[in-house]
Amino acid sequence: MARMMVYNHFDPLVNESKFGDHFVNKDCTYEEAVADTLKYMRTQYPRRARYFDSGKVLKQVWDVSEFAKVKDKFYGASKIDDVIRPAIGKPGTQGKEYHLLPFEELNTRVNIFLAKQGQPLIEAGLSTKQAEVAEEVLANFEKGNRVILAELCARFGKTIWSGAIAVEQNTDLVVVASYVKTVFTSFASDLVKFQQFANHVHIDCGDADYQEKINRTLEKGQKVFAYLSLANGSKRQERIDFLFDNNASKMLIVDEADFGAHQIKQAQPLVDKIDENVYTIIMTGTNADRAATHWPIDTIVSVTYPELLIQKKATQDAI
Amino acid sequence: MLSKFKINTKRDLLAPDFACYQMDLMGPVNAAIKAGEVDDEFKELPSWAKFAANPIKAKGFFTRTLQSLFLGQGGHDELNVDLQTEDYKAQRVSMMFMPANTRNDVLELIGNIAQETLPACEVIVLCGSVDHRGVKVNNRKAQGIVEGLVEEGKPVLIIAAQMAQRSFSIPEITELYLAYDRGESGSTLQKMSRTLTPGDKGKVGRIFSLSFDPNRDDKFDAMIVETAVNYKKRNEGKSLQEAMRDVLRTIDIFKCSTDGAIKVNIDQYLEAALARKGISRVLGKIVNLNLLSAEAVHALANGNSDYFRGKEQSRAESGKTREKQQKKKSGGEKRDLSTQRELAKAREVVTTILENLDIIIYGTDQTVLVDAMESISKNQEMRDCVEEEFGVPVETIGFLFQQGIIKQDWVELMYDNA
Repeated sequence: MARMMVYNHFDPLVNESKFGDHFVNKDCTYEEAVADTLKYMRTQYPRRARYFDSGKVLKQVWDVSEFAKVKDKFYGASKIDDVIRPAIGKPGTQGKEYHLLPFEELNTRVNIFLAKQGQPLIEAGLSTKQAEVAEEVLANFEKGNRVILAELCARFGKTIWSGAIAVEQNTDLVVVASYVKTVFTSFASDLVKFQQFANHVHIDCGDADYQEKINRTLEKGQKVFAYLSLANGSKRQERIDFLFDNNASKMLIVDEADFGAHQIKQAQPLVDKIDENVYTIIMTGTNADRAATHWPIDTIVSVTYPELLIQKKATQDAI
Repeated sequence: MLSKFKINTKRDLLAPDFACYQMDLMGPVNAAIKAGEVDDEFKELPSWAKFAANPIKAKGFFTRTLQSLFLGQGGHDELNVDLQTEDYKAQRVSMMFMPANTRNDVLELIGNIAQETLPACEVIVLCGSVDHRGVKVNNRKAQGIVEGLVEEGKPVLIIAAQMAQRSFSIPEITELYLAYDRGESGSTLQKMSRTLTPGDKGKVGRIFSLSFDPNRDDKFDAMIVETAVNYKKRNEGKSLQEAMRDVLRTIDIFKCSTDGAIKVNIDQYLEAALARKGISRVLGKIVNLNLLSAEAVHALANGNSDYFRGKEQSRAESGKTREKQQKKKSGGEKRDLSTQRELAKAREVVTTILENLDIIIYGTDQTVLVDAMESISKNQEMRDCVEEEFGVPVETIGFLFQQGIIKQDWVELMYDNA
């Protein structure tokens, strides 16, 4: 089966993202089509192929075959990229295929657009350890535990893991709370890449119309990831009340829980909202004790970095 | 079973390997002492804390250490990183964590000494008082600044204390130096993770513990014991000791010698960790105090022995299980009283108990803790002795054991090896 691919590459020297398309006119798998597209992108770096390969150039590739067929653009030089381009916006200065957007931001915009069009995104797979610990948490929820402290090492992949638990639980409203604002960008940009999250809308509770957006999304039968800053602003309590005083099924994920969020002023307003209907995961990389100070923890799951290496070795041995 | 997510084993392979190296600093220390380059206080009992208090007074030691590590100079091959790792890179990107309480002005001073010593290297100090080429260094900008330096192609040495412990991902960092004594285990793991950002294919993150007394250096113990505890939890048939051995088989720990790095033998490591009380200290650090109610933590932290006497009696009468008690707590009880300070104090008490468990085990000639506790509770002389040595009554130890805070498994790990 031939495939229509689109791509984004970001050259830090140019500081703009380039979005284009490439038709792979041969019977190939998704992986082969991605490799073919990367080879094509490489040709756009004449005499700088090593630079392209060095990892400094950020690259992303999508298979948009289904979308291209719907739009009657499933052929070479069909300019399917130009159909998507208006959803990206922010034209760049280097040519019509360039955009004045950071790499991740462009990816997020394309992912959201494709999900809306019904183009299947790639399926997220979990590492063996992620799956094992996700099952452990789900079993704990099943047993009646509601507040789980998750001490998960660097490189575990906390974002996709906690998102997967929310999807498995079929939760309507996932509240991601953190004192660290970059957490929100990381959640949104990581999750929108995958098909399992295609029916989720990401809403920042800092937006003026967040309540309207959340209500509208839930009414349409879609699910919500709501991002709540724990910085103690004047509207924080109002936001917490809105997010928790409703009938939607809920999950609370507190990320970087040992950083700011461990203080009573930050934790208590959320602890007050916890009941049998709120499934809570307190996530931290280290200092689990500190993270848990004010939370009524039911159980703990923990993964250290050497455990990832033990699993890596087991997987290598099995190959 | 997960219904919407499949396992992708390729993701298992993404975690970079790492290797831990224990380095003995006494070579450059002795050389600096001989040359009269350090003050009397440092000479008497050298430590990173003393160095960070006044780096100028121990400048000779530090410059010799850097020259050995990065340039292979001074005849201290046990510190020559190229020799130890058998890996030579034209552009080394290294990070060195100094004691967490190092003042910003002192950290800058340390950076200046490092820059003088390693002129071919770009030394960057990450702390709030530094301006790098007109840009004020802060947590948010640190990564971008270092990325820029790495881009320039010169070897880079990053010096930090508090900053850049988290959300600081530079794939090119392959060497991580822990230049402090002891340190909190969570924070050490966080620092070690800075070299675990995936980079080139086949990347190995190398972590060097720079110690004045490697026999007492327990920086890697926490990671190993915590991993073993988790590993055992998920592999039920194994004892904690077997789990420790399995973990040690996966992690490469090297002792650095003048002939190169020597892989530490599992039995030797276990023996040394037990001798330096590293294992009991780490178990103390990772005990799950969340299993205790706020009142119990408060009582433990404040030496309220009456609380435990009462608890043990009522437990004996009612025969309540821990699970039932625990359920009650999770119904929404707030842990207002369990402040961080109180938790830390309670943890100290548990650690002291663990460190001195040999008094109970050897004093009663029992390796099953429940039997040992029973023997002690019947013997007033032993009870008095335990109270004097541990600073808490026998009932407190019994209570912690019943609550699952101190585990039989741990006793077996510590005393079956002895």
